[in-house]
Amino acid sequence: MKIKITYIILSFVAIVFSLTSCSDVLDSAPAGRITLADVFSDNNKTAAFLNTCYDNINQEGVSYFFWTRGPVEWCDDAWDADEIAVNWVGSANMYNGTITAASDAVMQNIVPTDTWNSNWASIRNCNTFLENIPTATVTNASDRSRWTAEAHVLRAYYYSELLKWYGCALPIETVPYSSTQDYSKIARSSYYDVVKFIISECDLAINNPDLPWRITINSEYGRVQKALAEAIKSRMILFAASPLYNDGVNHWDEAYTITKDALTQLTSNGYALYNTVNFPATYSSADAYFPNKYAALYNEYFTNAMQYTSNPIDNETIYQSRDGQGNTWDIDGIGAQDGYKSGTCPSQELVDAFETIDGQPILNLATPYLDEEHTQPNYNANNTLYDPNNPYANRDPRFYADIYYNGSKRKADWTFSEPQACVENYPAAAGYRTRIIATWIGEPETGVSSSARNMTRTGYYERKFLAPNSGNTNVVGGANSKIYRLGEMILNFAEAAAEDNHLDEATTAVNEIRERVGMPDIPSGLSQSDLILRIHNERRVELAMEENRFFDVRRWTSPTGDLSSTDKWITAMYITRNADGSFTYTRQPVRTNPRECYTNRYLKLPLDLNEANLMQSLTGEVWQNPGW
Amino acid sequence: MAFLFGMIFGTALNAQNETPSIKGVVHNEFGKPLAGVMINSEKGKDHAFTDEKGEYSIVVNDGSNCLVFSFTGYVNKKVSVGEINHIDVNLKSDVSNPDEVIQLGYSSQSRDELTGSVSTVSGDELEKSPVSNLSMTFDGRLPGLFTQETSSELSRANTNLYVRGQAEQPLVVIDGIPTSYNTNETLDYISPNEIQSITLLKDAATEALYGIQGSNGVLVITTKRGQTGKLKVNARVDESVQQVTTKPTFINSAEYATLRNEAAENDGLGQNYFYSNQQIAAFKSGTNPTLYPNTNWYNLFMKPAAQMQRVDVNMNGGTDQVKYFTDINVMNQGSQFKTDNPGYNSNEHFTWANFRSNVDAKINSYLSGHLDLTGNVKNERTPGNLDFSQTIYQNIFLIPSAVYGPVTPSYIDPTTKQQTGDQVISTNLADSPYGMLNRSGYTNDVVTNIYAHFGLDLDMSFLTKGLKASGTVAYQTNTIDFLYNKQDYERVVRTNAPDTLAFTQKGGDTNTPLSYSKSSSYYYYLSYNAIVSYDRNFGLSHVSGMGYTYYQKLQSSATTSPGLIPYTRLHTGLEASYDYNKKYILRFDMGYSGSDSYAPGNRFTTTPAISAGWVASRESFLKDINWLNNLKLRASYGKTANDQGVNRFAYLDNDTWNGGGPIGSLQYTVNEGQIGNPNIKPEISTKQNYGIDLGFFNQLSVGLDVFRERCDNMLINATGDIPTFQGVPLSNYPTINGGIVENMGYDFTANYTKAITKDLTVFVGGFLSYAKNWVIYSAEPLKSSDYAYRKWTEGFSVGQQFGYLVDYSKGGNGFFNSQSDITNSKLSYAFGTPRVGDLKYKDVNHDGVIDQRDEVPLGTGSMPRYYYGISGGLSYKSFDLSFLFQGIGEYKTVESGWGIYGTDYDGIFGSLLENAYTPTRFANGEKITAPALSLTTTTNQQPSDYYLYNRAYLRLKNLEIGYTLPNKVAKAISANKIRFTLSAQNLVTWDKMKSNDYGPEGGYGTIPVYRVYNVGLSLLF
Repeated sequence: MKIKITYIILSFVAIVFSLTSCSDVLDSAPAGRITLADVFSDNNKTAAFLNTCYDNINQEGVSYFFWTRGPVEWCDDAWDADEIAVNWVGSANMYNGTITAASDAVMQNIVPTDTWNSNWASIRNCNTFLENIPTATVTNASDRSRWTAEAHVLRAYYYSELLKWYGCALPIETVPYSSTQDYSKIARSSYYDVVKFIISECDLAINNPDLPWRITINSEYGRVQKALAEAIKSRMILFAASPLYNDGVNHWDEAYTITKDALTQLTSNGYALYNTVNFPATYSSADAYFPNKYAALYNEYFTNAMQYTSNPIDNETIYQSRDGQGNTWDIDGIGAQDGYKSGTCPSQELVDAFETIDGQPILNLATPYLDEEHTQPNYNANNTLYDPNNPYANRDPRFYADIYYNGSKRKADWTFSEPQACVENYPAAAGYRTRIIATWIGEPETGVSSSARNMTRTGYYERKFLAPNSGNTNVVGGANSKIYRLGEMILNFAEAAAEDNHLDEATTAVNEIRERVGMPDIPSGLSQSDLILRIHNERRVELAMEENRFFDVRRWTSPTGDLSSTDKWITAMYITRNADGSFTYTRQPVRTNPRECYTNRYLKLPLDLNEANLMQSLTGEVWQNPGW
Repeated sequence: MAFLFGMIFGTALNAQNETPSIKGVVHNEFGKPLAGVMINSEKGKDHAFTDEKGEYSIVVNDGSNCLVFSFTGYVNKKVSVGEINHIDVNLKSDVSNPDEVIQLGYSSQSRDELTGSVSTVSGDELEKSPVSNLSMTFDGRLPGLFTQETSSELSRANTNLYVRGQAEQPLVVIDGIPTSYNTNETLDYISPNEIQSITLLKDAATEALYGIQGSNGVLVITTKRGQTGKLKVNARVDESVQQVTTKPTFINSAEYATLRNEAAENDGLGQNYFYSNQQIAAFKSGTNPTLYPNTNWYNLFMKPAAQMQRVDVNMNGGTDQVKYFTDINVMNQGSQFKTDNPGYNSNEHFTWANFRSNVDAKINSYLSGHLDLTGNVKNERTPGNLDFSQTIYQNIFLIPSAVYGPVTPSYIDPTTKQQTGDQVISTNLADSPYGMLNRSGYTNDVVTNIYAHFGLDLDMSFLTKGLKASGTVAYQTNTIDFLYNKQDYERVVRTNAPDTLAFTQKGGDTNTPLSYSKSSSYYYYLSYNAIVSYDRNFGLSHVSGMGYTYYQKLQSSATTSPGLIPYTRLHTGLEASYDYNKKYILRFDMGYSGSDSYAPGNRFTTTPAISAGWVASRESFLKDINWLNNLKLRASYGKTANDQGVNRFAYLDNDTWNGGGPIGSLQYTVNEGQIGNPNIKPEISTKQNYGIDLGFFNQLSVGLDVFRERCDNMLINATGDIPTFQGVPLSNYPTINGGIVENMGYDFTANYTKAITKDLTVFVGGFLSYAKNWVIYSAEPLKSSDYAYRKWTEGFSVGQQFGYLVDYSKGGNGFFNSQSDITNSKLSYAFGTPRVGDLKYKDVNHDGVIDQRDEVPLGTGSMPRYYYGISGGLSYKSFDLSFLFQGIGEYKTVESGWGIYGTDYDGIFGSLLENAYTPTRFANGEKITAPALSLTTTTNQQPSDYYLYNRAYLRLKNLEIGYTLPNKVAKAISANKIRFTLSAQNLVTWDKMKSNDYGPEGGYGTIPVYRVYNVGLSLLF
C-alpha cells in the first residue's frame, strides 16, 4: 500500500515539477523597446526625441475635423456648408450651442485631436527634453545649443496655443511631473504671467546664436527659428493687453514695445510683405479672372507654399504648416465643381468689410447694422462708390482674391454638364471650362441653398486658398497654411501702437498693409477710437478666413460681455434673378434661428469636464472657465 | 481517415477469447422498451447499448461480476451476472438524475457526488433549434448563462455569453482543451449534432482548476464518441424558412413630406418649407409615380424570407477495440436580399461543411488512444465588402420613400442607339443599397478551421488500482482567405426641381470594371495536456484525485506588434475528493497557472477551492420518507482568476524609436507608449456558492443555488486623481489591480417529468437566474458638490447610464407647451435652447441650469438581471411535442439615434415620430409620442428617461412537434426509425418596447432577430 501511495505521489509531483522546468517558455517579451536613458545617451535618439516635441503643432487650414476651417466657420467670417450634412461635428455643435464640457465636440475635433491634452503632452515632452539635453550625448555642441533653443520655442508655442483656445490661468510647468506628484498643490499662473513666461522662453531662443532666423534647407522644413519666437511674442503680448485677458491692467505700453521690437527684428532679418506676381503665367492670365495685379499677387501668396531656401520669393511667411491643404476645390471651394462639398462659405458680414477701391468703408464701422439680425446695413454716408444693387463692383482687390460671388468666373474642371436651368452657363459639357458662378436662388448647381453641402449657404464661396484653375484635371493642392506671417505682425504692432496712443506709427503700419494691395492710405489725423476701428476692420479684411477673427472678436470683448453683435446672426445674400436678367439683392439670416455660440461662456472654451472636476476637488479652486 | 486509423490499430490487435454473450431487454416502469441504455461491466472495460427495441447483447471479458445499466433520467441499476446469460431489466425513472455523469472538462463526476454548481444540456436538446449558429441554441437552456444576441445576420449571428452576469465571456473547453481565443466563432465551428453534452461550470469548486482562465465561467463541450455495437447511421435533413421578427414602420412619401415640413416648421422655417400641399397631394394620390414616387426601399431590397437547408449524417459504431463517431453536416444559407446584376451574382450565400471523426482505439489492455479530426469549411459570398450586410440593411432606411429609384430611367437614343440612364440614385447624404448590392462586386471568402486532437490513455492499474494517465496534443488552425471582386459605380442625385426628373452626378466615382484583390488571416493553437488520475473505493469510502498540466501556445491573427507575438500559457491543477457512502463529500481543487502576460515574479497564480456536499436523503432518518427521494446540500468556497482584458505585455514600458516624424532632417522619432506596471496580476474573484437539491416522488426535482462573488483586484485605470495636464496621455498609464466589484444572485431550477401511462409522458421545467453586480471601488474622482450624483460608477452596476429626468411636475406632459412655458421655467440648457414641444428636464440640483450636474442614473447597466426559461412537452405514442419559452427581466437602457430622433440624414422617421409634438396636436389633446421634430440636433437629443426603453421580453423560443413513423414503415426502407419534425424558433415575442420598429435586441437600423420555421426528417439506420 505504501509503495502504491508513493507511486501516486510521485506522479503528481512529476506533473508539478514539469511546470518549473518549462516556466521559461513564458518568457516571450518583445524586442525593440527602449528606455529614456537609452534615448539621451545616443545622438540620433536625442534628435528623435526633439522630433517628438514637434508632434502636436496645429496644422490649421482645412485640417479641423471633417476637413473644415474650424474657427473660421465658428466666427462671423463664414458659415460651414456641412452644418446639416455632418451635424455631429464642430460647426453644428457651435451653431446649435450643443457644446458641453463633457462632450466638447469642438476641441475634440481639432487636429491634432484634443487640444488640451495634446498641447500639454508636448509641453511635457519639451520639459523632458530640456531636462535631459544638458547631459545628453550629442555629437556637435552647436546641435545641443540649437536643439535647446528649439525646445524653448516649442514650449512657448504650445503654451500660446493653450492660452489662445482656453484663455485662462494655467500652471507653468518646466520640469516633468513625477509619478508621485501631489496635484492638490498645483497653482496656476495668471494669463499675463503665462505670457511673460512665453516671452522669456522666446527670448532664450532669440539670444541663442545657434538658432537661425530662417530655415534655408528643404530637409529642415518645419523646424522652428528665431522669427517664430518673435512672432509668438508679438501675438501673445497683444492678446495679454486685450480687454478679455488684461484683468483690468493696462499692458498696452509693453505691447507696443514688444510688437515694435518683433517687427523691427523681423524686417531687419529679411522678412517683408509679398508684393509681386511671381507666376504671371497662371495668376496674370485672363483665365485666372483677377481684375488687377493686386488681386493676383494676393491670391498667389495664399495659394503657394513658402520654399525653404536662403533667398525665397516668399519673405512674408514666418511659419507655415507642415503639410498642404489638399484638394481644396473638392472640400472647401465651390462644391459643385467636384460634387462634394463647399465647406467655408464667406459671410455677408465679411463681404461688407471690404472697402470700396477709394478706401471708404461701406458700413459705419462703429455701428455696422441697424438691426440685431444684420439685415439692415448702416451705410457709411461718405461712401459714394458702393451700389447696393451692384454690390460687387469697385471693391478692395483682396475681395476678388478671397471670394467667389454671383457673377464671378472660374475656369477649371467642372465634373457635370450644365442643366438647362443654369441659364448663364447652359449648354456646356463636363470638363475644363469657364463657368460663371451664379449664386441666385434656384440656380441648380451653385445657387444659394439652405441645406445642401455642395452649394453655398451664404451666396459666396471661399477663393483665398483655392488656386486658379485647380481641379481634378489640374491638381494644384491647397498650399500650406500660413500660421504666422509678417502681415499679422504689422497689424499687431498697428493695434498696440494705436491703443498706446502712437497714432502716427499705427497709421503708417496699416498703410503698409494697404499699399501692398493698392488700397489708398487711411486718412491721417483720425481720432484714436476711429483709428482703432479702422485697424480692426483692416485686420478683419487682411486676415480674413485665417483663424484670427475667431480670437480677435473674443479678446476685444470684456470678460462680462458676449458676441451678440458679431456672432449671433450671420447673414447670407439671397439674390433673385429677374426675368430680364437683372438681380435683386436681399440680405437674410443664413438660418432663421440664431447661432448659439455667441453667449458669454463662448468667449473661452470649456476645459474637459473631468479635468475641471478633478482639479476643483483636489485644489478647492474652480478651474473651469465661466459658464461651463 | 477515421477508418484508416481504425484499421491500423485493428490489425495490430489480438483476437479475444470467446466468452458467451449476455442478452436481454431493458424496459421502463410501464414496460416500454428503452433505446440507448448503456450497459457497463462493473470494472468498466466492456460496454453495450440497447437498440430501438430495448435489446442488448454484451460480452463480459474483464472478469466483472455485475452489469450496470444506466440511462439519463433513470436510476442506475446494478445486476449480478452469475451464470445467467439472459437478463431483462426494468429501470426506475428519477428526474433528479443522480447517476448522470457530469463532464467537468478535465474530469467527470456523477451528479450525486457533485459539490459544485453546474448546468447541463444535451446535444439532442440543442438540435431542436433550427438555427445556424450553435451559440443561438443556448438561450433558455442553461441556468446561469446570460445570452445577448448582438448581431443577427443570417449564418453570421453573434451571441455574447455571460455566466452569472460576469462581464466577460466564459472559457470554452472542447473535449478537454481550452480555447479562449475567438470564442464566439469557435463555438460556431461545431454543430449540435456532434455534441454529446454541454456543461456550464459556475462556481469556484468547478472553475478553480482552470486557474487564470476560470473566473468567467467555463463552458465544457463534450462531443459524441463511438459506441460499441453495429454501425448506426443517423441522417437528418432540415429545410428552414427564415423571416425577420421586426420591420420598421414604412413611412410613405406623403407622410414623409408632411413630417419633413413639420420639422422645418418647428425650426421656424414656415409651413411647406420642403413640399407644397400640391406636392404632398401628388405623393398621396400616386398618379405620377415618376415625379412623385413612393418608393418602398425595404421591399425593393428585402425578400420576405430567406431559406436554409441542412443535412447531417453521422455514423457510429465499433468493437471493443475500435470505436468511431463520424459526422458530416452541410448547411446552405440563402440571402435575405434581392439582387439583379445580370453580369454576376453578388447576393449573399453561405455554405458550411462540418466534419468530425472521433476514433477510439484500444491498443492493449493498458493502453488506448483516440484521434479526433474536425474541420469546418465555410464558403461565403457577400456583396461588395465583407461587412456590407449590416450596412446594406441600415442604408435601406437612410433614403426616404419620396426619392425616385433605385436607378435612373434607361433610355436608348433612337438615332445614336446609345443607351443612357440606369445610374444608381442616391441622396446627397446617403448611398443607396442598390449600388452596394448590384454595382460593388462581391467578396468570396473561405474560412477553414481544422482541429486535430490526439491522445493516449494509460491504465496504470499495474502499479496501483485506479491509477490512470493520459496525454493529449491538440492543434487548431483557422485560415480565412478573401478574394475580392470589386468595382465602383457612378452615383447620381436628383436635382431639386420638383417638376422634372433630372439628376446630377454625385462625387467623382465612375463605373469601373470588376477587379481582383486578395487578403488572408490566420491563427493557430497548439496545446499539450497531461493528466494523472486516481479513483478507488475502499469499502464505503471513495477516494479520487487528479492532477494535470497544460501548455498552450496561441498565434493570434494580429499582424501588428505586440499582438503578433504568440501567447503562451502554462497551467497545472490538482483535485482531490473523498466521499463516504456517497453521503458526505469533501473536495479540494487547486489551479496553479501562469501566462506570459505577467512579469516573471507575478506570473503564476494559485486558485484553491474547497467544497462539500451532504446527501441528507441517504441518512437513515430520511431514507424511509417515500416522497422525498433526494435532499442534498452543497457549499463551495474558493478563488478563481481571470487573465482577460489585460494589455499585451502590460508589465513592460512600451517606448520605441522609429523612422520618420514631423521634421524630416531629424530622421527619427521616439514614441512613448504604455507605461508598464510590473505588479499587474490576474483578477482574482472569491466565490461562494450554496446549493440545495430536492427530489420528490422521483418526478419533481428542485434546485436552488445562491452565489456571491467579490473581485478585490479588478483591473482599473488608476488615473482618477491624475489630471491630463501633467502631459502623459492617461491611456498610457498602466491599469492596476485596484478595483472592487461584487456580484450576487441565484439560480432556481425545477423540473417535473411524469410518465402517466405507457404511452404518455409529460414534462415541464424551467429556471430563473438572477445576477446583479455593482462596482464598489474604481478610483473614481469625486465630482464637485453641485452634482446631483457625485459618483457615476462606484455604487452602480457595470455599464450604468446617466441622463436627465423629464419634468412631469404640476401635471405637465413633460414638454414645453408654449414660449411662456419656457420663459417661466427660468431654465437654461447647457446644450442648446429648447423650443416649444421640446422636453422639459428636471433641474435636479436647482441651479437653474440643465447640464451634466443634473444627470441621474438611468436604466439597469449593461446586462439584464433576470434570465429565465420555461420548457415543457409531452410524448404520446408516436407523437412528441416540446416548447421552450425564454425571457429576460430588469433590463432598461436609454435609446438614441436613427428613427428615434428623426434628424439623421434626410430624416429617418420611426413610427413614434408620426405623432411627434406639434402645437396643434397638443391643442387638440391628441396622443403625442415624441418631442417636436427638427432638422438639426435639438435639446431632446440627450440621454433622458423619455428614451428609457424596457428591454424585458418573453419569447416562445422554440417549438417542436415530432412524429415517428410506425416501425413497419421504417423497416420497409430498412430503417430503424423515421421521424418527422416541424419546429420553429423565435415564434412569438412579448416585449415592452415603445414601438414595433425593432425588437428588444438591436436598434433601428440593425438586422433584427430572425424567426425560423423548419421541417425536418431524421432517419436512423
